[in-house]
Amino acid sequence: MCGRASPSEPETPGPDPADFLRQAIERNWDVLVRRLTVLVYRVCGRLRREEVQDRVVEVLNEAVRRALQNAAAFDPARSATAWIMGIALRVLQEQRRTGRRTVVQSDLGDAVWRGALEELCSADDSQTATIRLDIRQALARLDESQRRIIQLRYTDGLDGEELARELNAPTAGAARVRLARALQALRAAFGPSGDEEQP
Amino acid sequence: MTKPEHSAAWAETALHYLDALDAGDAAALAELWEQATEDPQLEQVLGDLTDGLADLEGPSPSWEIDAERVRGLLREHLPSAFHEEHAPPPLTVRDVAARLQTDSALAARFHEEDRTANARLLADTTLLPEELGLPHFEKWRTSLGVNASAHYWRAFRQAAVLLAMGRCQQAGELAAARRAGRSAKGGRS
Repeated sequence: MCGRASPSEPETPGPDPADFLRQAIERNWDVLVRRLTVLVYRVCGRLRREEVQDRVVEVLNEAVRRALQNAAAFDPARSATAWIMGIALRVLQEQRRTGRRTVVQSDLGDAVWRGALEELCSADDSQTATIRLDIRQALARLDESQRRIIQLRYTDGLDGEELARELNAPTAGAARVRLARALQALRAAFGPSGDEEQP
Repeated sequence: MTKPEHSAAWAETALHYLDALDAGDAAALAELWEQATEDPQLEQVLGDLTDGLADLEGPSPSWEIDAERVRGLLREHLPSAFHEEHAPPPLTVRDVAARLQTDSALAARFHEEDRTANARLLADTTLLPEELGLPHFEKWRTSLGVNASAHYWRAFRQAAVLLAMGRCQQAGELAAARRAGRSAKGGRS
């Protein structure tokens, strides 16, 4: 018979936070790698495949090290995956400190845009005709596909799989990215002049 | 349709996230993910968008990083981040009794007394002995304090030996997988 193994561990996370984190890392490994890869690829830009891979390894390595080092501060009621993503992005930020791009100034503080967004989000079929003129003007400045996405979401009420099917998007997440891109374009088109450059 | 205020909140979050991403603003992205640690809805939105970005605007599929390779590299540099693959747990009396219970053909041949004994042993977590040779087994099984026929104990010992062989094979496969993992990383151990 084989040598004795230690008694089996319970399925649920034990009281040791480091142990809990290790289990969460193991469980969500593929998700962490996939998400971090797309973020490194988008944030760092112009990297070759090997460079993206090296950067992902480097960032995850450091993030996991820091996470385990500070495991005692982690509250197991929170999401370990989000925690590690946050740490990984801080690591990425530190690495890019010397050559980082300008910090984004979001338009979200703009009360007019916010009001327009809220009105758009509360629109439905019966209200299409009464949408504020400035929103309708901004919508008219979008290209057809962007306008359609916004219409499908906010006047037809489609979301998730339904929206993805209608847009021929591979996943619900992909459809929501397209919607967010259309909203970015709308925000750029919105405003008194309406001639701001679209992203 | 989602509640209007929820939709507006989603739109604001989505725009904030994409703006930060387009600007390469890792600090803003980090802040959002940090908030998401205690906000499952926000985590869902960020995860959904990031996965959607991977589908639409990420590296081409041929670029996709092999998660197993990254795991291997991380395991090499930071072994403390990983649990060792769990070795199969040690066999107990209960495991063998459960095995006998599931073998309906075998169980049908047991007398009532044997079935009662097996039911009792289903709750027994005593470890099986390393040595399952007949003399040693006979001595050990009397220590369990359960009466059953010789036929039952023969079946029990046979099942125990088979289960033990299965565990050895599993342990061997795990060890081989670990060795293969190490050699795949350039022969460094």
